[in-house]
Amino acid sequence: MNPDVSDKRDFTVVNHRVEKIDAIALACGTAQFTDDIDIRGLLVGRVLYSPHAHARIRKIDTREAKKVPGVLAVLTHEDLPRVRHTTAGQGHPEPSPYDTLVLSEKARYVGDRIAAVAAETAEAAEEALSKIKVDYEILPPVFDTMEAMKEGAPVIHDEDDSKNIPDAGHNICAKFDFEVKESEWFSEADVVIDQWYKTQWAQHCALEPHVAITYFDGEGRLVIRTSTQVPFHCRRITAKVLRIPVKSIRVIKPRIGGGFGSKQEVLLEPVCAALTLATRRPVKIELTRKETFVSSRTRHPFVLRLKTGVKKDGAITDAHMEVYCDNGAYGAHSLTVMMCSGSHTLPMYQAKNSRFIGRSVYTNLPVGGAYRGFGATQGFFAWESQMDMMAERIGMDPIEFRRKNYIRSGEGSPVFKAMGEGREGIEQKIASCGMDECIDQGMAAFGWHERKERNRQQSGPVRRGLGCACLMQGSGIPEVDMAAASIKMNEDGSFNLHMGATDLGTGSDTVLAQIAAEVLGITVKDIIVLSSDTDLTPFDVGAYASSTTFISGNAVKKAALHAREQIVKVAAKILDAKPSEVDLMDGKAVAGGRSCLLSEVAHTAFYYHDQHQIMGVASHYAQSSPPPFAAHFAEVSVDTETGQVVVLDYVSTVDCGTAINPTLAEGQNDGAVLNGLSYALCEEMAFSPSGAMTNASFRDYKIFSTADAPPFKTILIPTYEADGPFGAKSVSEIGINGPQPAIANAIYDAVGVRLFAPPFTPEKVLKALKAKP
Amino acid sequence: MTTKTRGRGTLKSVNGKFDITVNINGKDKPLQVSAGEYLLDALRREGYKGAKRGCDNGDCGTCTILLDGKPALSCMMFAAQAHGRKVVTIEGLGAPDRPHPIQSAFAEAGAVQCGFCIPGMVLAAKALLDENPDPDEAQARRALDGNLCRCTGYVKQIEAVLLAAKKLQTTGKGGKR
Amino acid sequence: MKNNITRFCFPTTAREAAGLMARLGPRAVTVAGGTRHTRTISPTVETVVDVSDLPLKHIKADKAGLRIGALCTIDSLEKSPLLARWAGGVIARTAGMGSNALARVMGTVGGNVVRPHPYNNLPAVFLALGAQAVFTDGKREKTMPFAEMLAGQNMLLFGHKHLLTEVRVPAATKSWAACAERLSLTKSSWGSYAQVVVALDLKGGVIRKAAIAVSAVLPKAARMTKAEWVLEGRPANEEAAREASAEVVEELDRMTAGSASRAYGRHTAGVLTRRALMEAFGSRP
Repeated sequence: MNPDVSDKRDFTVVNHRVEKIDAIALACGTAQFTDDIDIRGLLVGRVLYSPHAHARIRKIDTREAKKVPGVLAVLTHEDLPRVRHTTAGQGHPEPSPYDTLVLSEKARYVGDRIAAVAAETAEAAEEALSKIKVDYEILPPVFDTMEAMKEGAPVIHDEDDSKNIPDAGHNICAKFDFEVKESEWFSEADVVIDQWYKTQWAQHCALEPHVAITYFDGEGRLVIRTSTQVPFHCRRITAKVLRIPVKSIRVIKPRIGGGFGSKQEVLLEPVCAALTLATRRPVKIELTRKETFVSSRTRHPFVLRLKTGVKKDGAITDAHMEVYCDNGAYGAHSLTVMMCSGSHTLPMYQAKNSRFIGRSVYTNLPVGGAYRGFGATQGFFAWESQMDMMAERIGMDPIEFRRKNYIRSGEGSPVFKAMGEGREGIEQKIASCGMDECIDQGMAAFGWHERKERNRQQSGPVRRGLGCACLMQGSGIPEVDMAAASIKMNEDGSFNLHMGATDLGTGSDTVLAQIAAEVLGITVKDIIVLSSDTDLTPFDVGAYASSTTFISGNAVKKAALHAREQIVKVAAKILDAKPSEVDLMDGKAVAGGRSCLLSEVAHTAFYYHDQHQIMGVASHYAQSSPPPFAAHFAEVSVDTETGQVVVLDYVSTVDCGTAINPTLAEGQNDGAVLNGLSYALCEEMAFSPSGAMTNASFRDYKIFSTADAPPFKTILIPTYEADGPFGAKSVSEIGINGPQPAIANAIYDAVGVRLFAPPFTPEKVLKALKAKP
Repeated sequence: MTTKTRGRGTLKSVNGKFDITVNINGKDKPLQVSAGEYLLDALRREGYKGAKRGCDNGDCGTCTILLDGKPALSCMMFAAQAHGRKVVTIEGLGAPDRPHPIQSAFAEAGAVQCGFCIPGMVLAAKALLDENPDPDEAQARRALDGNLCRCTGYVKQIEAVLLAAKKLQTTGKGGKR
Repeated sequence: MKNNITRFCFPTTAREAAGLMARLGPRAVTVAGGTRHTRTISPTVETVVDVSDLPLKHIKADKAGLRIGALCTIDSLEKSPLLARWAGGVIARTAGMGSNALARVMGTVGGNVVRPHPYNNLPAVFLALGAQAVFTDGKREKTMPFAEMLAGQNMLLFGHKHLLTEVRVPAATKSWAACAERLSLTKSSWGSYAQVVVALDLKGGVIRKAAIAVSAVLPKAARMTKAEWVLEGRPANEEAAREASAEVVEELDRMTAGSASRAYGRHTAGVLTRRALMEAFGSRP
């Protein structure tokens, strides 16, 4: 085969702004999401949630509920196998404690699932829910992260059958400690800063609520049609908790209306399937918006402490990082999110002494889960705030201070090896790093110096200020995540690309088709993409950890190369050439001035000579997780009379290696940044004194609309990552990590007050201004 | 009460159902709807799946339709309220083989990520462009501020609305329907 | 959702609609824009009176003043050329504040003023302009000052048994200097920390009459009469604005009984009052 294909850099499809392959069907409303099909005899599934934050269930009486006309099943924990599991859709064995039952035997937060009903109509289902009598023994709850760890605090997981909880008696659901030390702690530092930070509860707010439909096919196999990011983990976990064989389950992932991590949890599928098993009927469970807020998953709030030492010349000597991750009632992603707050931040700063102390903590509040940024968001808020504080204390420009410290190409970090995701990591050296270019081009596009100059002269109650933040993330989980793809040639020269990779609205179907098209010398129009269906597509861990482009992309590239080899062989015969002379371009095989259409190649293989199916299959797992890098720049105004913060302008630059599709890469970053801005300024789940969420609607939990969004711009900084498909790294998560620290730094620049607990609401900012000495 | 010769009169339920007629995408369509059924539910039941359910509380805009040419939240209206009125759903604008210029503009501008909010947003854009064929960016932002999106940051969606305006001006395919 | 609706009526005259409401009382509910209460229909309701066909969508001016039909959408107020010229455009400006395009296109003046929700914007502006609310019970028309309607239980009563048909704004206010300010978490938030509308009759740099209405920090919009007294008869200058602003904060402090959770709203209302006054002073004709 042509040796150039794998490493080519003059692209015809990759790195082009190809239109997203499902865009037009989505814009026409014809693309089908989970709930966009009609199923005859579909029952409505509804869940009864606990009204108490912490209560033991003495007895549940479902007799009256079962009598409601139209009700076909009422289930409680007593009706289901008692299988402790985690809802976190991660590689097996999951590094989260097995502390959850499909329907709880004890209420651990307001919104915990107690019972489930299937009925002919929504009205009957609701009536049945109202007739379930639960005898609760109310227990004292604990809502504060730090209080929950204290001796004598209510023990939330006092059951004896949960597994992998490191210290249930102190409500600790995950712990990790790590230290590398080159000298005595803080002995070389000229300045030491010791600061605590606290981040807030937030929700993903995918516009499509979680929804699952389960039914038996004609052969009696259970079909789960669901809005999931992890179809294969969903199959495995559902099989396990309902004690049915994996081979009896088929998971279909249709179009997904966004996930951002929330749909990396296997939440609805087991309970919906249990209702189908009980009724032998199709059942749908669709969460309401309120249920999505309360009873799906959230971004873990963190309490963080950074104690850092720095020399006057700008070298960071010591980095002591302590994090307390509030996991709510169950331990989903407790170890991994907590660790990622350190593993994605500490390597960037290259301190000689580094220490990480991490605890994830149970409280009687909604459950934390995977959320875009995955701990790095919380970690970078603290770190990038601290960077500005350190720079100020040693009298160095904050940007110069950053340039001096950040990791560079060719450098490694002991943290990479020490901290993986839930287990030991792997050693790696940074092979591609565009941080300097990110900073240079970002500053130029933003007009950093000009704005600084202009802001020197200010008067009046509204003051402007600038802030920046620099970031990294990962690209998949090395030596853990695996993806596979198959590509099958049709007689018209088109291809079916089947992959487990899960497009949840990100555009990965398009990006992966571009990779295959580049290898095969065709356009994406000749690729029919199917993702994902556990009966039809090969395995993939799913869409999380910024892994799809990097890991699934490599699998697709290999599968396409595999198909290409076979095409070249056939074409060589047709063109009377050596395989090494054959190239594929413009939908043709070309050799020595002769060419034939790919359809002729396929026809030949199907019908004329040495008949066979041309088909490539491959899988990929990575031995590195090359970080993308980013630099963010913000200008804000702060109204010193009201505390109102307005973002005036925002520029973010991101090095994602080769952008396989620049338009989609920009779109990923735009979306991440806006979510970050909204998270920085207004998003926060609020709770009543008894632990009930009090703002569980979009009217009360504000997310930015077009009117709220400030002007902002994404700039892609090209680098080439040798381990990535055609030089690509990840792009989807990193952007969300920047706005909180960049805005906190800008507020400080504007008015000289530093906020350590987002969101930066007017009320909070004014309070800080008034407290200013 | 006397029967009105003009107007939409009175609807009475028979066995909990109302017989109504709604002009959907240019055609009068008789529908039987339940008491208290919302227009979104009735439309989806009738196969207009492009209208999405994001919150059932009038807060997200994914259920947006055009009602007598103006954007409306179909989750906040009883289906019976649409009796005798003109409804346009996303299916009434175009289909993948013959998309409306606004739909093409959204695809071309890269404005579609997960796409769950897009039908509502396209219809909000249609209402804007019918009223104001040449909006500036601020007007486009304001017209779309009831349609939430969590994927895109809205950057390319605003570009799409402005691109759609250009397309409609050159093709002349605008106008009310 | 479970409900007991058996009838939808689409009256074409206000008289007919009000007649239905008067006769059916709690067994009927009136729906216009439906941006809120269609999701919370009481189980007593059997009849939905959809008033969207009533001919109450006018915005016009005559000798007596401005007449705004109860079925005008918030959006139509915002875009009205007539309102853009009335009292410095304060009604249009207020209509454009907060919530979002879909709510503004669906929501009506009637719905916004008859329901005492603190995130409704229009009561404060109508209150400040000394507007009258016109109601009918199907037989007789009643006119009531906004201040009176908002002050007592009248609002609830008139929202359910009487139909609001029109809002009338006195002609004299056309040339008044006015300004509306609102501070909310984000631009498109429904709720806000505080909303302030000031309307002033200014002549030769002297404030002849002043009206200040505050909402959001209070459960219902209310006039700040003490602050208004501070202003009346004084030159329109920063000192007057500061004093009035301080008076607003004091008055709100009394009205909210010093509630700690309202402290920020009170403070903000003070700031917004001063700013609105300063802008109104500068924008006088």
